[in-house]
Amino acid sequence: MIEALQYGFIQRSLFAGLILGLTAPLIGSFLVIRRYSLMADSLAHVSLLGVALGLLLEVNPLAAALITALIAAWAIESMVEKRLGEADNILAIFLWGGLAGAAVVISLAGGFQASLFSYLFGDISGVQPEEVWIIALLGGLIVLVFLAFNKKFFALAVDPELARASGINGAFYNRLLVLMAAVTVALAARILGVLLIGALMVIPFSAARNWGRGFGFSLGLALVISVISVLTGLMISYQFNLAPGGAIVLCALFFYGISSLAAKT
Amino acid sequence: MPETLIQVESLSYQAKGQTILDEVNFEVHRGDYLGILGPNGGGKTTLFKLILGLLKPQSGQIRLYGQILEQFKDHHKIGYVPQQQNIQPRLPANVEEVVLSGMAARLGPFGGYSKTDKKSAQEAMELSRVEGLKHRLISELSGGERQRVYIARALTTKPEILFLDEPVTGVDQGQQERFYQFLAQLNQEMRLTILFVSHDLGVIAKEMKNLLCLNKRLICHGPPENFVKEDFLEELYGKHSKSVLHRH
Repeated sequence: MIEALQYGFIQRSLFAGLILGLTAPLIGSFLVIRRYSLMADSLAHVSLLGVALGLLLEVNPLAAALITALIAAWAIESMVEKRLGEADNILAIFLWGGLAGAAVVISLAGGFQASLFSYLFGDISGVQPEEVWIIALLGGLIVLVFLAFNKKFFALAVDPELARASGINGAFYNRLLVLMAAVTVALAARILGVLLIGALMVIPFSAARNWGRGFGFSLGLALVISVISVLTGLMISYQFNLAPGGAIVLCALFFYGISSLAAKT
Repeated sequence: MPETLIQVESLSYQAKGQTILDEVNFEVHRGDYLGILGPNGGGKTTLFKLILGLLKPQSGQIRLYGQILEQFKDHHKIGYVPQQQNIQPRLPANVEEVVLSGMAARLGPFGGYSKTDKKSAQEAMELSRVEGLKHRLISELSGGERQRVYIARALTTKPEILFLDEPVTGVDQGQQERFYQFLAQLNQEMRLTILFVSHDLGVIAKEMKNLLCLNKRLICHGPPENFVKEDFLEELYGKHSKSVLHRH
């Protein structure tokens, strides 16, 4: 394993994986406590439409995924805010809409299935140097927004009405949070793949909160679980030639299983 | 005359084609302890939400500290304890974190809670007798304990006005008595202005300085002893008003 670290693609996959491990739970934790866990999955499926459009129009697929996820995040939050339906119903509609749109665009182009496949299940070892920079930039943006506004996100997650009564602009911060979820989705698309993006945003925090401590403790533990899952998943996948995305998520699920058992005893 | 803190002028609110509040006018002065009484659907919670800026009225105006509501920025002067706490059953937040979150609105970007903020939260927890619970998860607490945490959260910004919407729902009789003593202390010693929604005229008559009766319209406003008469109660609740009057 040590000698493998000298390969450029391994260094890139470790670097990209670490950024993902450190950023996915930051926004994911707020989605979990607001019962918005499906948001990541819906945005991920919409981002697949972006990837397909990017490949069809020969635009950077990551940029196209980011733009479609941002538009969908804005639209979902507007619909939830105007109470045009229950949140889970709106999320499901966007999930299917994204997937159906992607299927149509793929059939229109009649090709590029192989490239698309890497976005479905992730291709961390295929991350290009310029993509590492995009991933680092998006990760930096998520960390900055988290550091700037996490106390307000938390107050809104505890009790949205009380938070608004105390002068917090709920509409603005809710929108900012879902836009950051869209950024996380775009960041993770290349690494974990569209089908597994939500897992790293949701599972580490879900595992951490089973220990029954406060939010700060749970978030810190979620970051540790997330980073360990990424590193262990990458090592196992390299050693046994397995799909890295799947290995990473299975590692996170292992922690979830342990914490669920610990919570019961 | 003490300073006017809240002015409500010709306030009307409709939702889904139904009138909830109709041309309501009243003022609240510093140091007042106002009980708000009315039947279910009479507009009590809606009135609070309008004053707190959570709902927008169709007509009329609200002024806080003389400023129209849209321009009011000193939200830390107001504490609010809602009727129902929207706590998620598995929320991983401890009592201290929930109480501190009462001050989140005042933080600038990248701001954290200062030593003074943490001291204020500590004082509010001691005052509300939840200091011993500060590391417990909010979702594990009983209804009464959770209520006290919400009061600590409301007190942490050292407010001048406290809005309480049926805060004793689900709290046992002994705790209710202690809670009323605590509120009386806040009102008398700390000059906190309190607005308290209750179903119980007996409690309002015993504990509070003024009564405001609301059944879509403002039916009465003044010292409770002026209104503990059946004709007012009949107007408020209809003919079965006697059951409302439990003298303590």
